[in-house]
Amino acid sequence: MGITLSGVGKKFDRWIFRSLNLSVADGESVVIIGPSGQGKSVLLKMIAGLLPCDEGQIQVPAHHLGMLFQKNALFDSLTVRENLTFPLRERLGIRGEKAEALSKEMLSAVGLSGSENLYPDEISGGMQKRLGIARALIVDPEILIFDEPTAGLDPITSKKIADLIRSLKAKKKLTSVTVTNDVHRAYQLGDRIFLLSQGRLLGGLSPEQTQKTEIPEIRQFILGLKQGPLTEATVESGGPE
Amino acid sequence: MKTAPAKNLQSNLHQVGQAFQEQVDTIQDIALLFKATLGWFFKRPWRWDEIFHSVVQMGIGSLPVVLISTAFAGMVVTNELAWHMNEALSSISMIPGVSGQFIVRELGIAVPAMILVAKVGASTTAEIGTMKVTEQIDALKLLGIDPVGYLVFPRLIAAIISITALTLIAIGFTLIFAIFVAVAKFNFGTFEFINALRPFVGVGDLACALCKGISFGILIPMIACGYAFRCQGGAKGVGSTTTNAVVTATVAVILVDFIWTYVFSLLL
Ligand SMILES: Nc1ncnc2c1ncn2[C@@H]1O[C@H](COP(=O)(O)OP(=O)(O)O)[C@@H](O)[C@H]1O
Ligand SMILES: [Mg+2]
Repeated sequence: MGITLSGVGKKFDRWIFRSLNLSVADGESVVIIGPSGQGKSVLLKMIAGLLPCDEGQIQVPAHHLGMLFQKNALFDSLTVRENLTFPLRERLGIRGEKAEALSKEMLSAVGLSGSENLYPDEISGGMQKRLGIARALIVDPEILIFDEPTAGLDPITSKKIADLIRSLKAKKKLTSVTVTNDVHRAYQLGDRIFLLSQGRLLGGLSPEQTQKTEIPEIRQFILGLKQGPLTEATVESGGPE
Repeated sequence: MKTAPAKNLQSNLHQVGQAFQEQVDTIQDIALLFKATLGWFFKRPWRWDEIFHSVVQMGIGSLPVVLISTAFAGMVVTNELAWHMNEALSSISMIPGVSGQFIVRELGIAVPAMILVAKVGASTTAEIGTMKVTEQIDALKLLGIDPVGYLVFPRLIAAIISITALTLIAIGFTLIFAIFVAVAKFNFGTFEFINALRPFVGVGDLACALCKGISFGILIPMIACGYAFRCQGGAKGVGSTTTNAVVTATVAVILVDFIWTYVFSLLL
């Protein structure tokens, strides 16, 4: 199940980006890095079909698409367990004991056994991320979209979550698009890595090539240099996240 | 320095214009939302558990505060009218007719309506607005769930049921406490009061109350949800959106109350 973006653009008060082209092959993992406020989340929502394109088109042939939102978007009136049984019932029509069993299995896969009856705001940030990932995976998606799966987590938890994503993806050969600002996670999760900056997608190189690339924007971003084509204005336009 | 006031005026005018445009857009959105919600009358399944949950939350949840406020409203109105009549006419024999009619046609309806705008309207906007800004609504869409069918329609049905019922209950309750004061303080007999009231209230008043109750049951959740879906910008956004929704709903309820009163005054 590949994803194809042709000449995609998005406009709010101004154009956030224009004429982006990207194709993600079946089973491929693409990672998008970039300064905040450049439209990475907007792009993911467009791929998920939650925002319309203002130019160009996006082809996503998946029936089931799972998404982890930047701020998790967990259903806060439902318990941890219900956050999984609810999608099962609504999306796949699975209810009762089968749903209970599936959600139990998923919770143990993401290391959340024992928190079934807590509410999302009663668990830690790392646990919320893992629940968000579990909710994205429970609908048995062919395409996965992760918006900053490790942002705001300590390095150890962040590594654990990236390992978790890798192992879960490996089992099913899923296609995925991940946005992250954590360069290490980008290397760990991506077959190809792009940088979204000033309305353009740059790079598209393997982790090894990305580390060695001479593309100035990417070099500046991964090395965290002050001097370079990414001006302070572009880096900070979205504010810290 | 000299140009400053002119510039200020211009930017103020610009702001007023923007706020006005925002209101117009919102009202348009509410109309569209209402249309989409009506479509769900013909779609299945109706989510009865959601409807039931909302009836409990809106109806049963608002009952205590509605009863307390209407009881006091009933007592106050009899007391004040009695004082005024005694001063002006040196007779309080007209109390049942005047206070009874005032309660059945207006007071017993307007007081609970204002409370329900504050309680049901505000909580609905805050709840759904929070879901909007935390992207829970996007998460619902991703599961193939139409937020209108899942969030708005059940609340509309629940609000029509609860608010209509509460309006009728409130009229009865206001009247009971008006009679209580008349009996306890001004020596009316209970049946004497009711008999004296009879010529002034009838089936038409009941119909009017029903129309108002149902209208409020539609207006309050639709305005609340319409604002909530436009909510943006975190907790602060939810706060200001809730305030705006309550203000608009208050004005709308008073306006519709007036319109029904006028319509029935032509009919009766
Ligand atoms: N619903 C929206 N309405 C208006 N502007 C928006 C909306 N969503 C995002 N934006 C704007 O689009 C830009 C990109 O946002 P976002 O995709 O969240 O950035 P990133 O995820 O790269 O940090 C920001 O300037 C943001 O203010
Ligand atoms: Mg983002």
